[in-house]
Amino acid sequence: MSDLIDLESSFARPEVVDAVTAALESLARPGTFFTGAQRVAIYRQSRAARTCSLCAERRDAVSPYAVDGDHVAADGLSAVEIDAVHRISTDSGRLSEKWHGDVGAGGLDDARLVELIAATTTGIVLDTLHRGLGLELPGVPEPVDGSTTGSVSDRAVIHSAWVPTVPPESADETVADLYAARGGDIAPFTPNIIRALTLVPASAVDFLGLLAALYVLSTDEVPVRWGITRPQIELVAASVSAHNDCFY
Amino acid sequence: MLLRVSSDAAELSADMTIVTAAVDAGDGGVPAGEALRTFALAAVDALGSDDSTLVEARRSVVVAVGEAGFANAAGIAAAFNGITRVADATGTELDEMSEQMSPVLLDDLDLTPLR
Repeated sequence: MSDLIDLESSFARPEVVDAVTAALESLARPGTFFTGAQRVAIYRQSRAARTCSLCAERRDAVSPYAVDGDHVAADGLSAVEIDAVHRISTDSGRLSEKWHGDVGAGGLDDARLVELIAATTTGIVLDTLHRGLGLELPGVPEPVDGSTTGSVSDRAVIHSAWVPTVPPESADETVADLYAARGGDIAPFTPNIIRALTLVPASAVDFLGLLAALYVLSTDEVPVRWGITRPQIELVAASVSAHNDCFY
Repeated sequence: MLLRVSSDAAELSADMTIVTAAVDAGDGGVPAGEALRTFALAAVDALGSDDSTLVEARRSVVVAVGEAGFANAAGIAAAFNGITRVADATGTELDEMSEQMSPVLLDDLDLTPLR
């Protein structure tokens, strides 16, 4: 587990400390399709990707498909799953609809993929935060035993992404509450990014819960205690997005 | 888009091209902009690699915006290091509202090739 004394003394707001704790606990718990051990393995693989020679070669190539090589199954994850974690972690800007089709053909269906994406990116958010603050990376949590839930939304449809998402007008209570909470002052407009993980509601709730502690989707003034203004926030956000080659 | 909206609201004249410029390209009309951008990109790039650039950037942003601002800048950089990957990995498309406002901005920032 992360050394919360260091995180608490790093000027991070209390709600950030709480959100980090919750995110680490979520990663360790059984999820919708992945066991606690597999979810923790996803976190470890998102770190391993940063020093993966195959990933480095692909990232530097004109096209990731120009490089031969495969990841191998490990840690209870299939080769396709590990490859997906690595691609998301190191070269997400070049993921394509072809990639989405390929991972699906390899056994990573949309719902399983959504949970994998959420777990991978949660790990990346946690590690980036700690690194940015000058802290040691969080300790990888001990997995918790238990059954997966298999709970997927039956209201998700293909709309604005490769994976199905839940339309606001037909959302059940869990997702409707999520949309209401994350829409900020532009609700009822629901940005597509807020919908992105809703095929697996638990993944959406967990990931957006972490984000809510770090960023407010709103054009309202930011609390003075944040020590940073809205234009400064959006400059950071836009710069990271452009740096990651993210069109959205 | 929110950078333009928020900077207009704050009566700043933010230069949108700063988003894709080199890190030493100045503040872009946003107070402490260069320090914040340098720090954010160093935090994103430092994962798994030498973070000497990040150490210096961290010092600069604390001087520029204070400790609370620094901690929140780290949080925002982290959040968007995750959000961008969710968007990319799910194939999430630009919202209609953003799509309508974006063509000029895309040209300004030379981001059209990313579509």
